[in-house]
Amino acid sequence: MKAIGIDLGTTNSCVSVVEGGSPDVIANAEGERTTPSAVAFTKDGERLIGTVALRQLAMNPERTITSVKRHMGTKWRKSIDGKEFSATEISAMILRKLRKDAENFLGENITDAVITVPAYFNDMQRNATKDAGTIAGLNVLRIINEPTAAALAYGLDHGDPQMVMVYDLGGGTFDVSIIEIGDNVIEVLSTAGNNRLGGDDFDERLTDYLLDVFKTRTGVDLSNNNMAYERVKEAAEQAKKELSSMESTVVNLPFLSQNSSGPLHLEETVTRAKFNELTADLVQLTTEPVQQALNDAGIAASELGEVLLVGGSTRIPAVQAHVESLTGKKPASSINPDECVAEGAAIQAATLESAMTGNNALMPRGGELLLLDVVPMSFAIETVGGVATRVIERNSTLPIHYEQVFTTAASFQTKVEINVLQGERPMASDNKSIGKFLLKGIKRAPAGVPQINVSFDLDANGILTVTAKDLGTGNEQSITITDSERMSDEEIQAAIRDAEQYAEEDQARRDAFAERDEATRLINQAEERIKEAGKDMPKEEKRTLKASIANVQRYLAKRPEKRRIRTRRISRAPWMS
Amino acid sequence: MNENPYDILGVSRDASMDEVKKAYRKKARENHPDLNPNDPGAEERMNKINEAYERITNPEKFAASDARKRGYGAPYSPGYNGYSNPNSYGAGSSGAGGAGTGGTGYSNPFDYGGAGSSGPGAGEQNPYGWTTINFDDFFGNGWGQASGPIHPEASASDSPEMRQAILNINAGNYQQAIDILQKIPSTGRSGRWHYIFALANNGAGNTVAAHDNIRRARQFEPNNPDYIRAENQFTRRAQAYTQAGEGRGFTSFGIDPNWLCCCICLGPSLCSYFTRFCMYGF
Repeated sequence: MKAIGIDLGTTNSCVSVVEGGSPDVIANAEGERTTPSAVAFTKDGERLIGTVALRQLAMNPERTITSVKRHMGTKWRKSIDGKEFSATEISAMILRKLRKDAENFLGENITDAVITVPAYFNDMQRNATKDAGTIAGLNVLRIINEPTAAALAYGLDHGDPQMVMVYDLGGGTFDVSIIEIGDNVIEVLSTAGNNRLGGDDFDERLTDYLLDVFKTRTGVDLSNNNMAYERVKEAAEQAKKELSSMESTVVNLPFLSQNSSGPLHLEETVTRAKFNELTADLVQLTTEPVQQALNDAGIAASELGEVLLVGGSTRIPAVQAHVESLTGKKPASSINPDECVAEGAAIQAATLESAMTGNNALMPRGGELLLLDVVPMSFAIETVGGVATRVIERNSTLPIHYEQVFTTAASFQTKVEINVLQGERPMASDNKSIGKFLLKGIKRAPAGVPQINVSFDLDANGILTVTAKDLGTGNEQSITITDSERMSDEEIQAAIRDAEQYAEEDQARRDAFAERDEATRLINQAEERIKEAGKDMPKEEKRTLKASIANVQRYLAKRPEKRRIRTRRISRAPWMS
Repeated sequence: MNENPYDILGVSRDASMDEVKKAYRKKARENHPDLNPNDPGAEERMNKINEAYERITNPEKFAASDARKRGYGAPYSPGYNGYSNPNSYGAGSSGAGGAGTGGTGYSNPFDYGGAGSSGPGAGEQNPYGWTTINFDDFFGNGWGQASGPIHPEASASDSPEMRQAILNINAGNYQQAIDILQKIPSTGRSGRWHYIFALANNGAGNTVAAHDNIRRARQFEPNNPDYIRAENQFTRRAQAYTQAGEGRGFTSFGIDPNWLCCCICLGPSLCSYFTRFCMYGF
């Protein structure tokens, strides 16, 4: 069985599989090498995923979801026809399409996959991504970090011992990792980033600028006009891309709005200089993570062997120039910024799969790259005075086991709440609370007597498990997550059932559409024949055929989406052969 | 961890860093659960290998917690360098400094974030987790002073780059100092480098980087009074912000509630809450 690698991106996703020892990108059903991470619900209740969803965005902005990755692991919900969807469920829809397309491409069932996340994703966001995979019917072998995946793809062809920096500016997130390659081991030395910085922000700057221009010229404010806003945003994104290769471009949007004097159009020339000016501070925001990553790795930029650019936003010339000024190195051009993350995920998937099954065809034994990744943010627990007390330092190599013995402070205390935090700040309130664990059932005893061993385990996915054991009784303590966005197992099971039901409905709907097309084609053909035959066709037969046509047309008008359309009478009529 | 880290990696005590790295990679390939999915013991072995590697490459990180775990007993193991004499750590403390039950890593919660934590005489925990405070040392260690920026002095052993960075810090050109320091390669990054880098970052308002680096500096030289003073200053400021924000007003007395409440409390941090939801580690 083949295991695939999935780059589940903010704006685009990509799937790859290793065949014959090297990764290939899998084209989707539309024939594209990347799939837009967009989901739409049409007015008819049909679900569209990928390019088709993006194409109707301007007409249907309220029911189209883009950049859902920005909401992973949060309380964000989208309400469609009375049903609430979490970011995990929306991501699962994208993953399901990617999986189906891969199955069609490879001609076999696919369940095992490695999915990538931004290195700077916290524990909740990683869990949410893993859950999305499960809901999509995938067995998630591993969650790996995007810059690490890029380094894997690079390291497969560039095995010489060296240190590389991966600068990954995607659609919605920014990561930078310092990675050491050597002896078939890819070792991450440090990672830093910003979960709220990406190409979307560049689009937004240009969109706001264009809206301002329009408002100044016409007095019409489009910011509350959803459809016009989406059109401007789409044009802004297009202009941004064009400005990567051209010095200036023209944004031309006819009939954007209207006032008393008639329709209003937007035509504006945008230069690269203007774009750079609008986005200069965004580019600057990448400086600090780059320097933090270098400092955490304990090296100067001059010690880097190579700088790899990953993510579509690194095509922006100002970004490339900035990286060069920060590192003093011209970034490598040997990897594809859109595909290398999925390729790296596929390499990791093949390594894990071949280790599990002993199938050396996927990845020659001994030739696999061992990935040694780190935890991107420190884990801490809240202690007295609201202080965040670190239990696991950031950039520690996974897997990690840490344990500490606690006891009670008050006599006959039977429970305690542990607030687990992720972040670097000294005060608890400045860090992200990723879950509160209530430790119950502590034996009633004088203060200081019970001994409770609390262990923190970070697996190779960077996902945390906390367990507690009463050393006196040997009992494992029950730990209840009281404050977390994590879906429960029941919720995940329910979501899987939902997703499967949706998939069936979608299939039925697709079949119905195909039938409707076929029926319409037959009607046209039959009418054509009646016209052609003229008086040659016996009256009786003509009447029967016309009645059949009318019958089918009635069905079509009523849109019986799940019922079979009876077209046999038309197709079997003597004159139709 | 009781085994010698060099034995775990299978290298001799005098192995070079390069040999240690090669051995680590080899051991990782042999034991990592990714490449040994059907071996249930792989993850535990890999945990040990990771820790052993870090003990050799970053011994300072483990010095403090080892000293505490061991109490004031025999040295850890011959031939394994990397931490200073445990007896000089936390002078003025009472008790055995931890009963040896903790796990690995940073088991003393007061190491991080606690104002004036683990400075000489700032207090250590006894086996029952109570914290004792030596007020003389407490106030003698820069409490109540050092409210302004710290002005480092160049020393004879400083490289030209370090001197230039120090000049820039004293002139208030913190970003320039950071830029200069960042160009110094890994081989030139001593405890002093981390100390100067921490001061530059503190001046530039990068509080997290300042904290990280002063801690790194203290891992190199736990008892350097300059480092302790800087750490105290950074930490106290962070807490003062929070407390001012919460209006608790603990700062007026100059002593952090950590030291009065004598335990780490997991969970909500209101003092009245302690009696119910309170635990401490040792």
